[in-house]
Amino acid sequence: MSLCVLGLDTSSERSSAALVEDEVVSAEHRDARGHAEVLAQLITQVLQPSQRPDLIACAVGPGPYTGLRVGVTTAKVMGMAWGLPVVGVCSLDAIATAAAIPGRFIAASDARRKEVYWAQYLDGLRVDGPHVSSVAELDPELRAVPWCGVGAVGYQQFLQHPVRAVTSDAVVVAQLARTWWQQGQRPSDVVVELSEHGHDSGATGLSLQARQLLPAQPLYVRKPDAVPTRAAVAP
Amino acid sequence: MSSEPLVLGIETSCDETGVGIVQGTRLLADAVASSVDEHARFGGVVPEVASRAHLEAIVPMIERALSIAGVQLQDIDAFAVTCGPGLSGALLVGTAAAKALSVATGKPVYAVNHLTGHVVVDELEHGLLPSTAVGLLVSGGHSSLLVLGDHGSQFTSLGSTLDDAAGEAFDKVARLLGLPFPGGPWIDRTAVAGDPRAIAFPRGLTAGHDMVEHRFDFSFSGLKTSVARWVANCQREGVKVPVADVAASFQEAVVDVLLRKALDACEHTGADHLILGGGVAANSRLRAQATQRCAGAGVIVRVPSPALCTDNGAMIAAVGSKLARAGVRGSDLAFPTTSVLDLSTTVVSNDV
Ligand SMILES: [Zn+2]
Repeated sequence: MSLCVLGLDTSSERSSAALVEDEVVSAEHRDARGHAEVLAQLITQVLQPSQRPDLIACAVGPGPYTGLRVGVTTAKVMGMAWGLPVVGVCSLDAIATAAAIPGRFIAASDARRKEVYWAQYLDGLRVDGPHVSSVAELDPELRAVPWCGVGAVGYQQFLQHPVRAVTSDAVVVAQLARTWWQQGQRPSDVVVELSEHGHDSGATGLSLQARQLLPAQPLYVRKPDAVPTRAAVAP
Repeated sequence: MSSEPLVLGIETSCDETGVGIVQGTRLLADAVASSVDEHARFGGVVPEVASRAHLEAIVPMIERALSIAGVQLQDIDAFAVTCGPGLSGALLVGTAAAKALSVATGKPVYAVNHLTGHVVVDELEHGLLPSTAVGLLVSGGHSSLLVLGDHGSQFTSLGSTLDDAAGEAFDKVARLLGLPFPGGPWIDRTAVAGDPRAIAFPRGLTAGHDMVEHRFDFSFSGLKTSVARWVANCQREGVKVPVADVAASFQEAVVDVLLRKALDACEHTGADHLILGGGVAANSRLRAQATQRCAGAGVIVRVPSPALCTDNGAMIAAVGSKLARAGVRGSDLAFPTTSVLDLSTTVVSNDV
């Protein structure tokens, strides 16, 4: 079955869009400017004006929330406009897939505030996480396994092996979504789990099944900082 | 159906997710979801909470607006979206949505100044704006006096608040009086039973020496402090705070300063129209006093109905519609958001 997937990733500092069909990457673009500025343009660069994908997939983090929301909003609104299904892929799964490390390893992304989002993998399968923690305070056993993900590079001094500096990107996100969709996975399967454990789990982490398509909503591992703005800037 | 362009506008600059649809100056739909209840216990808008709520609400609001207007997405001729000023994380959700709609439909998108929307929205109810007018924008984030030229497509700022916005003063005084957030509607309601002349609260920046440098500027922090002191004094003397009188007298001080300066601006610029906009323009005392005092000064006052005074998508669609009718080209897809935006910028276009 031919399945054309539009992938979007704004879960790191980069923005990317990709079109994946029959295991062939149609195009990919990256830009260092703000996600909301470039993402729509990137899509017009990978899609011909009359071209429509069959499925839209976006990286849902964990990652900086502001960027995530740009990708997820774009995916959901385009899905609505075209009447297409929209799914989410865990960004750490994309990092783990890109790194392809055998055995036990950890994929991580930058969580700011001197912390990382991380999950543990065994032969490419997520066995634990995502969590958010300070690398320095993690169990030494966890710091002894290989790590990947550009967000962990700054914490090299606490880790035993050199960090493999890969990033989550739209090509891997689209490929994973494509594979899982073709296996018959549908994101509605985990909605209940997310609402019961994910959104109420505070800063400890989420409970997600490994290799699972997710609903198109950001993985909010942290609760919002409840600091009201001084004079809401907008009227 | 008229042949005027059909425009869908998106507003997400603060805590309201608004999607409106207009055709020409006709309002077809105004769908608004608010996260205000989620902010109430914090006493102010929490940006991260607002951004999360925008993402949840954006698709349902687009669908609701299309359904209310009875039109299909492919019928829309142009999109418009608030690109600022506002909370940056909140603005990003709306602009991402508008850009996605533009890419999906191949139709242009206009990046619109939120403040412009508060004034131009009046066209949906009272027809085209006059060629020149003074605009008084009062809300939780802004208190500005502007001069509108060229039928509302050009703005010049005359003055603005030096500290608290008018709506912010309402929130703070409401808290002092034990009234819930947002304070505006509660003060308004409570003040009905009070005497506006009971307490002579100060009128900021109206003294002779202030009128030289700050003739058209506002300051409400002194007023707020004065109310706080007055309330503390009651408590110290064991007197029950006359909440209705304090609310009415405070409200009177705000309304008095706003209208005094607005009418002075009309006289100064020779404008015979005053347009009120922003959430505080929903205040019943301000509306009543504006009608009365403008009539006395020979100025025609225009105020949108309360539902269109607070943030909504229709006001952004109204600006988009004005731009589309004037044949203005849409913004470049890479337009940025900006938390502060110059009032003179109606539309942001990267390719000029
Ligand atoms: Zn506003």
